[in-house]
Amino acid sequence: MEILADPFRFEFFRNGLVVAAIAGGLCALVGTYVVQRNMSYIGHGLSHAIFGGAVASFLVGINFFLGAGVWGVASALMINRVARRRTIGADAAIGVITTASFALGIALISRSGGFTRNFEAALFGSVLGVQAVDVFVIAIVAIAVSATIVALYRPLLFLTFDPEVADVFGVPTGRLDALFSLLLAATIIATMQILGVTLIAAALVIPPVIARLLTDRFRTMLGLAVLIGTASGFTGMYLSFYLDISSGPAIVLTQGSLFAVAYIVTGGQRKRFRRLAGVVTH
Amino acid sequence: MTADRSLLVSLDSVSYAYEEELVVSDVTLEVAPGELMSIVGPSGSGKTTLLKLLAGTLEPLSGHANRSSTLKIGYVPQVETVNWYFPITVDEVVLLASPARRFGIRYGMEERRRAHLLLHELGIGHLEHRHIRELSGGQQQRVFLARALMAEPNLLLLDEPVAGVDVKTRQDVLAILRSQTDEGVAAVLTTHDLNGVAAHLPHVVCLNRTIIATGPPGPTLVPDVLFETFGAEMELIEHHGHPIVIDKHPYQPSEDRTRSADGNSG
Repeated sequence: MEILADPFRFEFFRNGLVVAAIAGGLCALVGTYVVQRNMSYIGHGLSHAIFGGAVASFLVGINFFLGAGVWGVASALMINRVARRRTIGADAAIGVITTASFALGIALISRSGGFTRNFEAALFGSVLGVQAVDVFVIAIVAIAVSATIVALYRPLLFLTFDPEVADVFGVPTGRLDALFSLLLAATIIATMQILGVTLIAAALVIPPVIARLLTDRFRTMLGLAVLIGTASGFTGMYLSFYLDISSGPAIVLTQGSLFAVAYIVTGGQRKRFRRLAGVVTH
Repeated sequence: MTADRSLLVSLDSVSYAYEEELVVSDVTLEVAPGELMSIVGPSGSGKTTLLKLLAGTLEPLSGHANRSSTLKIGYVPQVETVNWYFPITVDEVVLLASPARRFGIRYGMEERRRAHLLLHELGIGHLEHRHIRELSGGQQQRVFLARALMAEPNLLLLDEPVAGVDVKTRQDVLAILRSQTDEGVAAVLTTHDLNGVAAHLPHVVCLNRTIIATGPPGPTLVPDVLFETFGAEMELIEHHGHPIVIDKHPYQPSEDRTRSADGNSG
């Protein structure tokens, strides 16, 4: 118990723990749709694109959330639009937009030279700078994103499962696509500080993938993914504290370990079912 | 052009292209309530595009598409386009099309009951909690037909609804479509199956980017039209009033040679 209670003496840890748990759950919630829509690369790219906006807003002297938010929304809409073009290919188009934005961020840092510590935190995540306002922001974003996803569960599920046909049944696919891009951008901006640009994609993808190994029902997958994301955010924070490593890698390593366990266990189960069913493999 | 109020959809000289490739050219087609129509043509002839133009998910590049204000569409996609590894069960696929459009995660009792009834009517009620991948090809087709019916449509659009299914499923699907059209629902389906499907429906459209011929199967499915549509020679015989199309294989003996072999060449 002392191991659990001891870090609570520090305010940064208390704030960090709340933020990490919410960030893990929030990324997993949005990530479930990202994974099922085969958009993992968009999540990865968007986080890098927003980095450019974060640096630019720091240098211009405007609020981080405002700068990164505008940049993120613009990038998300641009990615969404470019991804619909068939000639370029969605992956290549995302690569162009997001790496260009990321490169712009690096270039601005090189010119200014005054962003070094924040730069490392933005890339790999850090709980040291988490303040009460950050807890408030991520809580608001988490509530707004969760409420939207719950309210629009059906059309979002239709769009995710059968995007070609959903609009025939009256689902406003274009508007819903744009809205989802906004939810994704908001999630990335709110969790960037704790998880880091380079590791957000992992937090978006790994918990849903673990949940997918465990269930064949979408609703259950959503719930399990959020549970796994939240628990790994919580566990990752303790690992970060005791092993003295950045919070982002700690959380993602926890998720990676859970994935390995789930993969082995479900693989073993499948083999057992096949044996019980009398399926012979050579 | 003034839209005929009794029609569900009408396409007037409609064309559509992907990038620079024209896939549907100058197509005029009308769908009225209770109509049962098949669209036949080779792969790449524009059948799916024509369905999407009827559905309104594609807007014509030229020409006009008029749709009734009361139009409600149920769409059955090609099974090849379905993501069978998506984590979704049979009943939830059907419930997606529920016209209730309620907010939130939970489905209502009434819509659950209706989905359950539809699945039973289609003979797959016992599979409603299964994952869609666990079903046979015919059962999977029925799931998507149930989803289309769940929308309470007045127009059913079905893209290859009997491709790769057994004869029983094919007959069942056609019987369901007939009972729907008897109730005033229109149904338009694409198919490659000339004998098992097209010849048995009241209206056939032969399509190869443009409409080659349209009308009842008897006068429409004739060798010249089939050659222009498919680019292959076919022969026809009649069985109980239905045309039966027979491929004319390149290695098939010519009439002269057959006569010669029979000693009738003179």
